[in-house]
Amino acid sequence: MSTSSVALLVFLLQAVAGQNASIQGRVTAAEAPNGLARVTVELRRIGEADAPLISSTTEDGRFVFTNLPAGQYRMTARRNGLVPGEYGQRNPGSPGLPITLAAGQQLRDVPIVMTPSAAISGRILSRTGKPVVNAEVMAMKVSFQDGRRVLTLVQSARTNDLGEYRLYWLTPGKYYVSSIPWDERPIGGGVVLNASAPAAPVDIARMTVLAGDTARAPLGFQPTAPPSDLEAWVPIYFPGTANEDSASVIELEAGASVRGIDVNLAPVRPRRLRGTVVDAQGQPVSGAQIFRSRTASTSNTFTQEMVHPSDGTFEIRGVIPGSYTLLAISGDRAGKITLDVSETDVEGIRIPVAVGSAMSGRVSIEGQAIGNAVTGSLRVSLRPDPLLPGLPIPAGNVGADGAFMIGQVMPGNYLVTVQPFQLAPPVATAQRGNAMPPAPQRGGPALPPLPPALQNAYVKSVRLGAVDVLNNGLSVDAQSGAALEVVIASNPGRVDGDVGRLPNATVALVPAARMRRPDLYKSVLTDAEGRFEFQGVPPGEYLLLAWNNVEPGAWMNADFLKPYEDRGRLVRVGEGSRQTVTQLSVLD
Amino acid sequence: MTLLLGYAIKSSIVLMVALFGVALLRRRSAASRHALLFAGIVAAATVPLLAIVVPARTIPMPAQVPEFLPPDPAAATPPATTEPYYEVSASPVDEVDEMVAIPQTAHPTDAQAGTFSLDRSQLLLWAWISGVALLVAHLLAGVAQLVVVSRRARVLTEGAWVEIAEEISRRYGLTSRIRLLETSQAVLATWGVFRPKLLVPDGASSWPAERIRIVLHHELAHVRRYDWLVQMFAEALRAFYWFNPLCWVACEKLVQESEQACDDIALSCGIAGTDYAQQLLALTIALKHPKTTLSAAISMARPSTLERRFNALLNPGENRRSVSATSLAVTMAAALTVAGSIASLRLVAEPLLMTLPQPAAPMVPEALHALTSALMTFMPQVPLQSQVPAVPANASAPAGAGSIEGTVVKSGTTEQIPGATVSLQRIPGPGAAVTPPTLIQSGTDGKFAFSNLAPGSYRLVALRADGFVVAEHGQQTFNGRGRPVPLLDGQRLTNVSLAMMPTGSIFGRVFDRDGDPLGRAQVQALQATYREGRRILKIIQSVQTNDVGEYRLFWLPPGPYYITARPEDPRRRNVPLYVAYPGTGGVFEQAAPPVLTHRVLENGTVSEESFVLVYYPGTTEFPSAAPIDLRPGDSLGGINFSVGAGQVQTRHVRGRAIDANGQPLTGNVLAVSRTPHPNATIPSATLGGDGRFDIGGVVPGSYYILAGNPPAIVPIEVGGLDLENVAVVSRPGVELNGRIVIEGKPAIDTDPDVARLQANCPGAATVRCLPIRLNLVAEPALLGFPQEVPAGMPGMAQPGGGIPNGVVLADGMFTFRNLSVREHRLAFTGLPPDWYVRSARLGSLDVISSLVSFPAATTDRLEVVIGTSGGRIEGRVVNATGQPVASATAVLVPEAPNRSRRDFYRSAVTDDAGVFRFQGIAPGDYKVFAWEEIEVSSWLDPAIVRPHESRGKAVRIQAGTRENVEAVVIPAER
Repeated sequence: MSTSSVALLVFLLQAVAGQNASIQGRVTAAEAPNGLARVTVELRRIGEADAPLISSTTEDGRFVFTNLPAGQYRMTARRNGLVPGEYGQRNPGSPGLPITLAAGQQLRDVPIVMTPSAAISGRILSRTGKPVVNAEVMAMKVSFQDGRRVLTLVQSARTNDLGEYRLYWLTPGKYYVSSIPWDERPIGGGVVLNASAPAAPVDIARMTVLAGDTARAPLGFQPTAPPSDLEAWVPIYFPGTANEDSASVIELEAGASVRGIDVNLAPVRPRRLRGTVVDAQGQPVSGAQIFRSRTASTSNTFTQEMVHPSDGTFEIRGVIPGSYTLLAISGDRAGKITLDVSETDVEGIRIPVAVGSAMSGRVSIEGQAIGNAVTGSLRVSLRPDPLLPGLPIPAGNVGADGAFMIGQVMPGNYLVTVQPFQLAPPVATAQRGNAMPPAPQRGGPALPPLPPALQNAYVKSVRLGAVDVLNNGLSVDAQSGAALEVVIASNPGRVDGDVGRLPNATVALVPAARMRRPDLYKSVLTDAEGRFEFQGVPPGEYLLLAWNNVEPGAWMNADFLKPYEDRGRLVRVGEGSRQTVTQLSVLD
Repeated sequence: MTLLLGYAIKSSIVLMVALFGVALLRRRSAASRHALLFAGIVAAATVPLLAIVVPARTIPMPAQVPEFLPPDPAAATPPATTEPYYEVSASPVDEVDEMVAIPQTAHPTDAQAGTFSLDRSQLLLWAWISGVALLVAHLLAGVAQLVVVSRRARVLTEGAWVEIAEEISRRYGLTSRIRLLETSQAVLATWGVFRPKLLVPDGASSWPAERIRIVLHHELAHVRRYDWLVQMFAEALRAFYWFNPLCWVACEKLVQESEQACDDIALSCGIAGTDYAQQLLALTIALKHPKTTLSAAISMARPSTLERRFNALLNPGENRRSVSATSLAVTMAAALTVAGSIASLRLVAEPLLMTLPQPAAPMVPEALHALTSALMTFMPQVPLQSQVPAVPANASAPAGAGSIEGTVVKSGTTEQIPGATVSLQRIPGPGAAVTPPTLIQSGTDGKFAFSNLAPGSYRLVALRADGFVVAEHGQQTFNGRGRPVPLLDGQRLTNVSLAMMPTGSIFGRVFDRDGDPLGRAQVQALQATYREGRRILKIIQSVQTNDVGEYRLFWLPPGPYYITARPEDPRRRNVPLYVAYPGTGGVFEQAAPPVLTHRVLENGTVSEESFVLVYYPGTTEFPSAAPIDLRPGDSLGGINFSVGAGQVQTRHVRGRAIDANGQPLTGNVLAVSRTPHPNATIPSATLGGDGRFDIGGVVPGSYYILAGNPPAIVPIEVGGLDLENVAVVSRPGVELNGRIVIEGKPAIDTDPDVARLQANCPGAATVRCLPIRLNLVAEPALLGFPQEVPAGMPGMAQPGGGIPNGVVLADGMFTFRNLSVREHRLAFTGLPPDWYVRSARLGSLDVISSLVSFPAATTDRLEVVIGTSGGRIEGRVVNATGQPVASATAVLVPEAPNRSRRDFYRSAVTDDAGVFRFQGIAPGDYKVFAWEEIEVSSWLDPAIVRPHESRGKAVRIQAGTRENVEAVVIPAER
């Protein structure tokens, strides 16, 4: 056998084993087409726990992986000073695309585009201008939860002995900076920040830089003045406000290094709230818990306090001015009040708690009798609007005759939802409020799966007497005798189409009349060919929009949508209809 | 009975230390608090044992059994009032509450005891026994109930629960599969050790996957952490010490912390805090009115702990680190040391802090420091004196009370330091309650004044976080030992000076192999220190570089530092920053698995690489590292270096691990470096079904391969190639018998002098024992593998029960069972003050002067000869001008051929007159050294003693002689 035939045999064997595929590519900078040298490119085979393969780019940005088995891969790139990039990404920080490699396939010129990261630096100083050592400095970004704008922690750092900090490897965008002394970080009360886990698997820039191990001061020493009734520590936002609504935005361009973001920390003069949790007879209720949330604010924070166990009184300290909702829960009794805190302490607050009233109703299915097939498969829930952490969600299961009974409904505003039809839109990560399954009724079984005929059904109407409470929301006052009438229909529409051939664009379906109906807001990412599809769309008028780069859930916010009102495509979805929208334009 | 009360008091102290420690760690992770609590509980449990094992060091042993103080009347109060969480009604804790009430009625009141004073101790004994019986019955009933409920439950074999459980088990690395049991009750609980079981409520099989995932993340975390076992152990201890409210508090706290630790593990697996909190709340509501409560199980959704957990769940800054085996071992060792020092206290005469002599146990000073700082964490709750007119230093201060005034100055200067916090704490007398310290700020002229003080001893400390080391009154150097301020009745002390040492900083940049700045690199300042006579490195501070490679280490006390750097561990979500306040703390050991990368080389081959620590100025070898000498207040910049040298190709170690019968071992196999380092990287692998292993990521060097329990230890050398066919054979533990002979007392069990020392044996109430304990300490001490502790460590029960290892029976016989086949060092505790070890032989081998390597089986007996008339030295330390030196450390160092006899070394701290005392000295030649300042146990290092050899005062000791020595102090280097 000649040498060449041996080589051929080896080649064939390798091809059979699928080991000789390779990927060659190039890493470039976003705005300049030059190759980036010394970038670490990581190749990870999907579904494999092994350490990824690593390669470095050459001076002209080229890299190569050889001897690869066939399979699906994800390829990411990292270099100091650049936002981590992934193959197929539309924007820094957004999802990438997998690479499918056939046995023996030689992929060439696979591009990865990287964006320079930005940094914010400055000093944290005390009232008197001295450096604050070990202060926690946070970079925050606007995100959307349930249509609300909230500030979310992106990265935190600590100051050194000169009070200096540096937040870095930040994806270009708009940021807010706040700081609080390390030892004053709220743990047992005060403001609780909500940081969500980073979405992309290797998105280092969005990782939270947190201290893992710190020693307490020796002998209980506090570097800052001890807390007192006169002073409380809350995060101070650049350029120097305790109120996040008046914080300044810091705009970061790619590669920018914004210096001099100095914050002077000073304790605020806190207000104190005092009051009692009482029952319907005005008697104090012991053992309640109070959830305090700021209403109408970008702050996504809430605190909990315990009510004095014996006499039902409570005292909440360190409250900064603003509008608050106080929710008291004691066993199966609950109650809430809203209150404005301005310049003075508030005394004599009374939060009445009561066992809520019961609400009955009936579910019917259009065109068919409700029968044993759906017994126990449906549940009607009253989702408090707005949904604050800790609020119970009253719910009732639907029986064989379609009747349901919801117990313990407190006065207030609700959205009526019917499980399993009205669950979260596809992009659930940013709309946690919707994704949350309701609290199960005590002892009640969970929902068995729906029969196939109803899998694509939707809620057509919910009425309380003559009132459409599906679209307008349900307002429960102390006594209401009427029953809820729920109609389910099983012939939804379908919307599909494409955005040209752009993969990974976000396509959102938004009800044309902006109703408080989380189930009518839907979103998907376009596939590798730029196609999208929505199934189970309730009939109605919708606006179809596509973005290159958008914060998840932003389309549920009316203020955000305003500039895009006439830039989307209007679609009218009829019962059982299919709408196809081609070449939907992608917004930036 | 008095003995029991004594143990109770001591275990209370241990528990109190642990609880204070937990308070101290409130910003640390729940897992570390849980570990500390557990260590505290274990330590409390071992107090009766340690009381006998640990010698009563410098205090002369009382001729009779010491009378312990009567218990604090508060100790008999049921703990229900101490725990606010009990207020939640209809919670699973209720049943426990009822149980608390029973002991109260069963416990005789003082009045009763007084009336029947003759039977008092018997009454108490019966009360105690019935309490124990009740609680043990309750505990057993709880377990029985679990068994019954589990038997009746439906086993889930398919569906979301099983699939998700498998996935998470894999992720957690659990070897045993959890049994998923759907019960007919509203319970959600985990129990069992080897075959863990998860009880889920009726209908749980149709829960949404999201909730199942959250529940399983949480419950499997319990399984991984062995929480049920830990809790059962704690409950058992509580049954034993039921009359002690601290036990109840500690048990409850343990539950809370374990829940939070599991929440943390779940969150670190990527579950969002808000989702988790919502599900937890939903669960709690669903499970609020269970028909039955399972008192012996761990339940996830307990309303009583919710509030705190919510706060912790939703706080992104919450420390969620889990605890490594190493730090658990270190915590445990520390707790045992504290327990040991407390156990050795004779609760008479002197105040607590003063009865603890300096260097008897090497870790005592640290433990003591931890204790005092733990006690003082209550400080923030104490208002500043300026705001409260009544000085809380001592409420019962008589009229005409004393005062202490002084100035805080910068060390070595007269420059005054304003704004320092000055803390004054009265050292409590025996049995007296610990009073919180009084705090004031030094004025603009650096002056401070405390008035209205009762006579006594006070600890005086000054603190300022921005660039000064904590200063204590009486220190010779900034990190030296402080001395209390004695204050007579009505005395007015003025001109007390507290000198604070300014800290320095070191800064620079770190670059990668290509010379680019390296972001997020971990940079540490290490300092050499001594631990049990061994020179080791300790992590003083750990910071991170930013995107331009800059780092800054600050708050560093003066001294030489080694600076290290390595790239970040990309697996970590949280960065391990460690910034302790100046002059406090430090980390002895932290371990992590190696970070492996598979680099594709230009020729297409793949190289397995890892990063090792690089020392400034750019070497991976410690001997070539350049220490940076930081002087007070220095700010040293430009300490730039590259981590390029740290990128090394790693190798594999492959082989097979079997037991003596050729059966494959299971579990994990580790490669532990033979060179100890505070930043250990431990490659490991899981043993295959046939005992085969393949450890990757091994950097060339010397290692021990460890597998099995007791661990088989195989030394290996890894060079430039993979190491194949390493055979690891674990051998069963060895039994070793021995006998103690006491000089001049041939029949020791009948000798009246010796008989007086006898007491009941631990673990066997009817057998009499001597107070002497033998300890075989495994050498080398390996990361994650605690050294063998002699007697009945909980969880290391004696096979077949019986007298614990190393306990000496009345006739002088002792036994060690299940000793691992490796080298050990023989140590003694519990020797009466004038006694010493003359010799210890195994056959013809001297086993006290050097390490002893036990063969796989020995028929030789360990023969120990004890001398009873050791010499005594009373001495004085003076300076060059003949003036007595207080607070100096006097060290007795044996001369050749006994330099290696660790048990012959003695050390003591001089009192105000410069006087020190040693006793129980074996006849022979010695030298007495006196250091103004020396690190504890460093004198065991010949390199430390050698340069001062000529300054040692020679002294020859003969049996029973008493010598007077005057030693000239070796001044501290400043």
